[in-house]
Amino acid sequence: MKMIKRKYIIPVIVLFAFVFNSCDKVDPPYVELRDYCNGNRNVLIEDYTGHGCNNCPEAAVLANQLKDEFCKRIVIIAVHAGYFAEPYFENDPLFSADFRTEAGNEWDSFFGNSAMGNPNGLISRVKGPTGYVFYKDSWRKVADTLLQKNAEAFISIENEFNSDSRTLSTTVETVFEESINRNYKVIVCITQDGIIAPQKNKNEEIGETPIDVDYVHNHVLRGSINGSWGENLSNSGAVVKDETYTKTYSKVFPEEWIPADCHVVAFVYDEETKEVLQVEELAVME
Amino acid sequence: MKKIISILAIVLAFGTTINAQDFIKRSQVHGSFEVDGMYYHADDELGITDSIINGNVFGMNAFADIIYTLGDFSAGFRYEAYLPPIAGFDRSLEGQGFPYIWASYSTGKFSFTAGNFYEQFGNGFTLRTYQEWTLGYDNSINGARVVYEPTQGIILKGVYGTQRFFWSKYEKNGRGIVKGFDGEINLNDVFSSMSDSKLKLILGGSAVSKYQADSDPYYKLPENVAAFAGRFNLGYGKFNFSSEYAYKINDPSAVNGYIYKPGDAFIFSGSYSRRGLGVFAQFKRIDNMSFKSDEAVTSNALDINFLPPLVEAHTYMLAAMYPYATQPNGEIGYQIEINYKVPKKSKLGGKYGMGISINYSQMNDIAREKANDTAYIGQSGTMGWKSDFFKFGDQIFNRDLTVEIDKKFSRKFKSIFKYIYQDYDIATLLGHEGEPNVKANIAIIDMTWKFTSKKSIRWEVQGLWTKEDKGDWAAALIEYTISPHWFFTIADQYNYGNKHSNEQIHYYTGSFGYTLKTTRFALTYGRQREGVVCVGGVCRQVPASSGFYVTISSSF
Repeated sequence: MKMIKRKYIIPVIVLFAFVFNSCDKVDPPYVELRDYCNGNRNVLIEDYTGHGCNNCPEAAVLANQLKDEFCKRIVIIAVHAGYFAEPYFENDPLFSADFRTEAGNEWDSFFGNSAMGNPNGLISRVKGPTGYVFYKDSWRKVADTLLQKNAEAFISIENEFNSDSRTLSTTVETVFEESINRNYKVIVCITQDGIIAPQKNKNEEIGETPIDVDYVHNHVLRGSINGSWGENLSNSGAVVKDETYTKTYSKVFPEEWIPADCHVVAFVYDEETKEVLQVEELAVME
Repeated sequence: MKKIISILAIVLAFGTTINAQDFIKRSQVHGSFEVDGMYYHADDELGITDSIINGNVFGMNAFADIIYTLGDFSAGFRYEAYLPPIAGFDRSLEGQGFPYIWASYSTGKFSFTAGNFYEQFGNGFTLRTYQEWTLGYDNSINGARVVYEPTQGIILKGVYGTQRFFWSKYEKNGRGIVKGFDGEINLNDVFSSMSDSKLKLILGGSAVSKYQADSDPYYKLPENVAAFAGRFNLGYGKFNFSSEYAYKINDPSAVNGYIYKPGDAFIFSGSYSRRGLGVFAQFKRIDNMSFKSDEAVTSNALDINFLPPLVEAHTYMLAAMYPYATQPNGEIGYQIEINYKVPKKSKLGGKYGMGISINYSQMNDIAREKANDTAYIGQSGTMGWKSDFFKFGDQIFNRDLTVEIDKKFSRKFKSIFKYIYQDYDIATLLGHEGEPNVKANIAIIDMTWKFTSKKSIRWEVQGLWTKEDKGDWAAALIEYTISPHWFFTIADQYNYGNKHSNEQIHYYTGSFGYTLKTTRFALTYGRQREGVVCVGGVCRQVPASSGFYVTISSSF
């Protein structure tokens, strides 16, 4: 019997040692931050949410936290769509608000966000291993990777708001760093901060549970002002280096849109891959 | 497809070494197929409108599993299609292809597998890969496995590879690489002095490690995370004891909220059995033991290990309404089961005897304390918490008392009576935040009348009474079977106690099925209530739906 022991005990110990060696014990501090203020490519986080989704406030907090961590190079759009965003959610009159929009519904249907269970999001509409949709635990990592990249395009926005006619006139200029033989589009939309309306919530540190009746909804998508899928930047299906592509739009604000709380968000994307190359936002009234 | 061609090439290469007739004679092919299809339609009462269905009226999950053997060589593949997946299955499954392709060769003491394989070490605390069709779950390893049996009673296994993640291919710096080793020794087989011993002892140990590059911008993540486990199984006469303890080093992940404490898992089982009586007891404690090959994944995928549940698995309609899902971040509890067969011809047992089974299980949260004064419990980027090993937390996740009596009254008539009490933490287990634990009493009567040797009728009557969640339910089912070919079933679940009168809904279904040898066809029409399907403590949510459900399966 001793023979058997000697013969096999050594390889067994070697194999265990092999795995044991494969251990990295991490010592504190457990977190470290890069310097994000030196980059020039911004990242769009579309937070797909709904007032009936009790996990969604945590995602909203995370999106804002990432904006701070990443030197404000994040633009957030809260897209209320799908089951959890339905007005009178679960027959509850508290949830009478309807923050759904035509653009949000179309995006949700195309990218499949609400079908995968909220909260989740799109990060500059890049595609991951299982599709466009990322749960919030992946947002930081995906955004970080994009923030390391150099911008291929730059956007500038100019707004003028006529308070009498409640009309916004916005001009969006895009300049590319390289000539690229692909078709790019620009989407220009309006988001609104500071809307107080009930929200289901499970995190006491964020607000009242299980329903926060005075929840402050920020970055709420109010709609796209140039269609759900935007407009081509050039007619040729290609873009030329250093040429300025200018688009001007005007929009009459409905009563419930408070201009002082609204932003214009403009993003340029590749029509085929849907990836957002650059995004900017600017307050409607500065 | 290229892989299949390569495997076929290997098969043909083998074929050339033996003569053609022998080749055909010794070759065997086995397979199984299944197609599950769903057609949805709008149902106002369930709140399902055409705009929710949004044109997605069909769902289909299908597979074909083919295995070829030639002597010591075997190979196979599984084709799967989800076009699109049936509602309630992970949308990431959408697509079709060959996710499982393998070839295996055994020679004497060695067995080699290349490609995809399923494996389990001990209870699965360090490693278990498996496939569960009803969950849409598959975490097979794609790589290589060697099994070595140097002598009878010793088994050594080594595995190396990456896990299946829906349809996505492995990419460098993507999901982790898994390597593992397991050794098991049956002392009664190895030591001749113990071969006739009344004491039966098996010892085992495993070590599993994953490598995943740290690409996290924020947390300092360990790139190599290992887990170790030791186990024994001891039998002595009518008694049997088994236990396993596993330990995992720091493994911050999205599941544990990026905490850095090590994890551990412990299970102890004891049983006693003699003719007519079986007693079984188990204790389990899990602390921070989720182990996935991608730290960022929170869905039911890429699990390296498996944490077995300690709760009666209910199959009756209403009893399955509140199923338990294992809590990998921490749970502590026990299960006791007694099975007694009242002897035939006794007063209680009657002519045919009577079976009595009592099962009680309880699972609590572990007791957690702050890891230090400055951090709250579970705070990301800290040690997370401290926990006393044997202390139960105050929060009850689940309690279940099941009493079952099965009794045969005559040659033609038998029945099962069941009473269940459940105390269920619906906030934690189903995400109904802020809602109190559901305390439910459930009664079930199941009777079968066999009026000829081939024809029988079975009916169930069930009730579930609770003040919480959706209130009281009643259910009934009638099933007529003409064996071996036909069955016809009508069932209804009625939520008569729902406090919202518009949600007092009947969930009716009607189905029939036909079986011919190994081929089975079944068609169901009706409503599916919103719920959760769990197998082995792993669960998926099922939305309410209405429509036709068809399933066709066959094997050869």
